[in-house]
Amino acid sequence: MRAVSLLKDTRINSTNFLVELTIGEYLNFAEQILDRNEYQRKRVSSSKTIYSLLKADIQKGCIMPPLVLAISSELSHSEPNLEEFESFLRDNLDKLLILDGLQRTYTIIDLRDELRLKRDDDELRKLLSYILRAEFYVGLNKLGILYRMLTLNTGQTPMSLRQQIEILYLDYSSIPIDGIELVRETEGRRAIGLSQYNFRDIVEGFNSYLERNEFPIERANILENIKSLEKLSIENQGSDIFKDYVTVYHKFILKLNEYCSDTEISDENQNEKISYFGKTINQVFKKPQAMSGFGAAIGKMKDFQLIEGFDSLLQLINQMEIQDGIGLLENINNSLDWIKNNSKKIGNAQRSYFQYFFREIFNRENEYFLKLEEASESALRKYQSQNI
Amino acid sequence: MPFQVEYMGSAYPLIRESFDREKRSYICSCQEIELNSIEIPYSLRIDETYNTEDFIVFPFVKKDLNENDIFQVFEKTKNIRIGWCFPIQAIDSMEHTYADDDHFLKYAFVTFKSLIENVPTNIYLRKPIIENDVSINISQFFTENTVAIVISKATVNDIESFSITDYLPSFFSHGYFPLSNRNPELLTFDGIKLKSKKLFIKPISNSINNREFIFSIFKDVIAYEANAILLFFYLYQIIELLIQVIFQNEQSKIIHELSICFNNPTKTKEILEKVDQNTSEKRRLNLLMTHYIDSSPDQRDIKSACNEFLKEFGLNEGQMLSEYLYRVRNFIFHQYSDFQAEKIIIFKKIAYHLAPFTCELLNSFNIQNIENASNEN
Repeated sequence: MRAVSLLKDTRINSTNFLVELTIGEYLNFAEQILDRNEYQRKRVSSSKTIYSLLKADIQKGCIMPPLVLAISSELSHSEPNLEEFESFLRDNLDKLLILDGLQRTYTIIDLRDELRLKRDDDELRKLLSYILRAEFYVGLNKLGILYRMLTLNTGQTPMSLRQQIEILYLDYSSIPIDGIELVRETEGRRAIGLSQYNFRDIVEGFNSYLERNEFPIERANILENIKSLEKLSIENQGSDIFKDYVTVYHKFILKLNEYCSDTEISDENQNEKISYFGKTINQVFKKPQAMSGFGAAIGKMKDFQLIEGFDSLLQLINQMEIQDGIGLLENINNSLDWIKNNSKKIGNAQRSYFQYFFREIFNRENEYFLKLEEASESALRKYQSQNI
Repeated sequence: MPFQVEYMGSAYPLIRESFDREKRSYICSCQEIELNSIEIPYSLRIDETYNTEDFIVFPFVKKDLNENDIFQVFEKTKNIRIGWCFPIQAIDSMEHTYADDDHFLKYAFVTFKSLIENVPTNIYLRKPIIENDVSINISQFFTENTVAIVISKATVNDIESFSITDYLPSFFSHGYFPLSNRNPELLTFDGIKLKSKKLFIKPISNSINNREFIFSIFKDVIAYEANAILLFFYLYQIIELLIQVIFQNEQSKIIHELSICFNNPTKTKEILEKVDQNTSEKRRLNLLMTHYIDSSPDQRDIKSACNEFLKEFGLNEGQMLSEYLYRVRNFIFHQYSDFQAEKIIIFKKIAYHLAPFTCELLNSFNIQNIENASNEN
């Protein structure tokens, strides 16, 4: 193994070492870390043809593009040198991750195993002494790792948008928030109870708060999301704001349930001409459209200094009263039915509606401040005035 | 031509592999950029009842399309449902009215697969930009106002020589135009809004010969024409075509009568007087509405719009098409210098109502049989 070059990546604040090593040296540590990167996709089975070509090419002595790895530990001093790299690597194998080259690593392992099975010692010796190049990013944190993975394109099997979002917010799913359970999709169940929320829906709402935008995360925005989260993590505020967002929204839900927990649009008073967005208060407000509208509304009002923050919202929620639960539900459903029949993209329009709704009820300067029944009608008028 | 994606500034074709039920996605690949697994996900409930070979998917476009503009297509003469008409983005959404409708879902899935497996040629397609993602929604390959009209082959077997082009005027009147390679976002004509969830279509009359020209006027010109005056001009060209056919037909009748009466000078003279009358556009417009259509289209809206315009310019209003429409036509063709630009809003109403009215004429037009030559005129 020989470190041949080092450069500082000032974008992600990491030192990049370019290293030459044999396949044998690489496999000594690479196999241990294959399952470590929770961000990486699992082995891609449909790529057999491409990677079997690679196996053959390696045996013919082709040059592979450099593998890219990351070590999340920091170097002990600010002036690193090439000579210390090998010992640093040895001491930090448990912090090592493959950023780019996972599938190639599997291919090399397969090839080694095949040659072992065939007892082809000559070819095996040749393989293990084959020289690879690898880049190691040292001192990279989770967000930096993700940023690098998303901006590295060559050879990597990329992730779906859903995977990227889950990874971005992975740490938040394990933050304990009193009385609230965040249910992840991978658990194979949905949030049913009053204090349960689908993690993905909460993430959408929180993202709407961060971006001051109620629309779903677009592909083009994913790197911007990382920048926003980086800023938050620098200020050490990320997890606190997330907790605040979830806590306040849950308080809002609890307050609604004080007045309307048993309120339901029944078959008797059902209007056959419309299809219902939600017949109960929880069916309406525990959907991602409402959470995103809430997040965007609070973010915008904070920017305009119409509210101070999540704490001030708690006080407002405590003051809320609902006189007519059925009326509120009918207004919301009628509004959303109009939106359904008159929108180019229904999901986005529903989010906008809720954004206007929350701005109506939480803005002191507004006519319908804390008046949910009236605000549910006024929000539609606001939406129409902006979109028709 | 398969779907294409854009990557680092260049376009690459997607090679379709197969539908993966577990991933609920159609799997494609793009070898040039080493992407072995690009997924086109299917959001709705999968219903594999139908086979793609049993359906034909026609891509159309419509201005100001809403996600919930989902209609069942009925063939009016047989009164049978022959398919569905819906925005392609409805395939990617669970929020519209039909997201749980069993009948719609069968068509939706067949459309999804058909669009990927048989990408139509010479149509306007988008090339979504891919960076680090492997998932592209099918609606990203089309503009927001692209619609799928999906027809069941089994249901149209009973209709002799069924061809979707025969029904184009019905689609035009509601603002639906076949997707071409022209950017659909340039569409200006929106048509009459459907009030129910059924789209009834009627075939164009067999008596119409210049179909290609007429369809071309609609889909290549009217669809993209924003100027109301020019819209009126183009639509009136179609009416001119019809009254030209009437002229030829009436002339044929006259010649036929002459051939019978050539030994009778008095009768011959009477018949020859009709030749002059036959050239009158106003008379032919009357004949159009009284003798040359099977069922009279509703004239209320076009009449009201024309009379509002005539009144605005101090002209006499009319009761019949040959009065109210002809007077508007004369004003535009001969008195355009008197037209005030601020009155264009009133004129737009005429163009708006004239289009579906013209489509109705195309569907109902019927050339009289010469033996039924009427001496009433």
